Amino acid sequence: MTWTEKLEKRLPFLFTPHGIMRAVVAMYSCKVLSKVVVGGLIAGSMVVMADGMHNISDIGEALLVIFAVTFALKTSDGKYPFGRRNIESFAMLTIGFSLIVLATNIGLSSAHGLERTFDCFSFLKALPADSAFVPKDSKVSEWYWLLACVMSFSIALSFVVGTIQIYVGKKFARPVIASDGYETHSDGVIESIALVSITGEYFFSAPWLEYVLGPLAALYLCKTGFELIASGWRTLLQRSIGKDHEKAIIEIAKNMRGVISVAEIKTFMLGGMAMVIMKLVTRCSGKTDRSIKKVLAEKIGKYLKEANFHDFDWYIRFETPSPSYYRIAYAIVGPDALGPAVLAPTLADAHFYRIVDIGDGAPVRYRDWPKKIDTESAVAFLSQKRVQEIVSYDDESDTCVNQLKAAGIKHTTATTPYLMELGVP
Amino acid sequence: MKKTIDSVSVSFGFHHNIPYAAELAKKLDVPLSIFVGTLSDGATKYQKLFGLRSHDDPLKRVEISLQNIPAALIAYDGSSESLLGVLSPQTIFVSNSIEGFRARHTLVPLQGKSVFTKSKPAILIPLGCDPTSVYTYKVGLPFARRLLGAGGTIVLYHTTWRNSSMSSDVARDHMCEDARRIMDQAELAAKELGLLPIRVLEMAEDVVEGIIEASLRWDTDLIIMARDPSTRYGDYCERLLAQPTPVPVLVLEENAEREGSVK
Repeated sequence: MTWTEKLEKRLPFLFTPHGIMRAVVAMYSCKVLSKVVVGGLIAGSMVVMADGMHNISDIGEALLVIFAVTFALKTSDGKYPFGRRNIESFAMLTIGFSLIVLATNIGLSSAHGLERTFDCFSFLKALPADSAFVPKDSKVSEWYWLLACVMSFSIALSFVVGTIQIYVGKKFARPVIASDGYETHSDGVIESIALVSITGEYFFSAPWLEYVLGPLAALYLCKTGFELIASGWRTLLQRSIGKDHEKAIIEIAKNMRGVISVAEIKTFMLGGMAMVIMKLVTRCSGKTDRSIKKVLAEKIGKYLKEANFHDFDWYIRFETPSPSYYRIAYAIVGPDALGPAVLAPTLADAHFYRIVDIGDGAPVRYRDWPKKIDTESAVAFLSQKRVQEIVSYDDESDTCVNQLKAAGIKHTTATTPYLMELGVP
Repeated sequence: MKKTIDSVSVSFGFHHNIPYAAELAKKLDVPLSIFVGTLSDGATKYQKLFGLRSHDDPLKRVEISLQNIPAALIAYDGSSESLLGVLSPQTIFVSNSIEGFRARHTLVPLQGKSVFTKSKPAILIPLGCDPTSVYTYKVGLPFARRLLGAGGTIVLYHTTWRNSSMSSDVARDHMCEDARRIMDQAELAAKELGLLPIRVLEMAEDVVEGIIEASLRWDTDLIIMARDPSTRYGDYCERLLAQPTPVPVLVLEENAEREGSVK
């Protein structure tokens, strides 16, 4: 059992979509208050103050997530047949873009910090100005331990709450909460850099450490931001959940008795929910189709859960195999005094030809036609009737086979002369 | 069952069942009998018509497609009564219809083209609370052992009616005493035969749908059921085949067993 699962048992109210997001708002409110008051107003630390200001935007993001989750929970109706879950994708895009803006800001601050500290980085002056907040009097050395405590606690909180957000987001298939969890982790990284900065200033008089670590944090934030944007973008444009997953789902369906083939499959994400739309080819009846649908949905659900899709919905339709109509002719002798009609040894021996229309593998219509005077006219007649196959009981002569072949008609030698056993009507 | 089942039979009229029947015979290691309908004066007519051709030609052609499975061609006059007369009581008749074959074990492949479709095949045996269920597991389990081999998976399925005086949602709580006893005995018998029994208890809305869904859920390749002679209308076996089930069904007939043991 992981620590999140243990904590869930103790604090179940925290492990719901709204529960965790309320906690996130409360956490950021405390962070803003402590960082601005302790870091900015009392200790005059530039980095801590700036981080506190940035946390104000985090509160806004958390409120946006709460709105998205609440809106997405509305059930589907006539206007929104698939529900409103994609609203979460917009929120994910917003969080992704805000992370990239934040990363740019950190990158610029670090660059300008480096050019102000070291002459060799003077070329960085050409970069646009950063929006770093610069307090007038730094009293970090005086208030270091208080600042360190505030920042350490804040870092720990960011990683714990972020991990719970990711856990809850996955559990309830709310990607926007998981995305915000990654954003909260990013805050932990930024806070760690701020702590390194004030520690460097206090112990080594080297606040520039922050400027060295800043670009690394910016890269990390960019990566997370782009991933969230890509994920939101893919969901909004209803990209397939992946060829491999689709192949696996097709295999599951094809392995089920009663399913002949999968005529169509479409998959996409709807918020955090995987959607599977399938058309199966089957010869079963409605009641059996219902059973197949039910069990197949269970099996696909199990597969998707194992593949980390925590919620899914499905639409499975059925169709019977295409009738694939074609014509087949039988060379027949009889009936006569010796008994009923049977298959003639050859085309030339036939008393008449029975032309049968086959649809969906079974005879659907037949008509008897009198025999022709010779093989050539028989082949011409069968060709005119668009017959694809002629069946007799014995091997035909090479001449006849060649004539049939030239007319595009296949000759088949039957295993039995009995029409009933051949399924001839 | 090992003594009573000595062959697999199939009618040439249902030639699309021949590959399934041949595969079954091979797995059971018994010969295959193919019944070909002839006419009373057929021999004269066809010998006259086809000269030197003899009656066993169809079999020879079938034999090629069966890849050397021991097969015998048996002629009959084409009627189902006559077929029943010539079918051995110790055979499993492969046919898509059980009508007129109340006295023979019949395996209905329906759409099944292959006996086993999975690498780890399983067989489902639905059980109830009547003597037919006892007969089903007593005959069905040794057959399953023969077909699956040691360690084969047997799904013992029971769906129970809800006991309205109980609020529990656990199917076991609603089972009648006879059903529990039969299930326990069947599980024990399966273990003794070296099979791996899986017990599935449900309160399915519809018995037949419950059986089909369980067979699909557990990826079984065969359902073994016995026809209850005392059910006047709506026998589960017949309803299962009428639905129709996508999983092949072996319909056991107590009459065949009695006739077989007499022989």
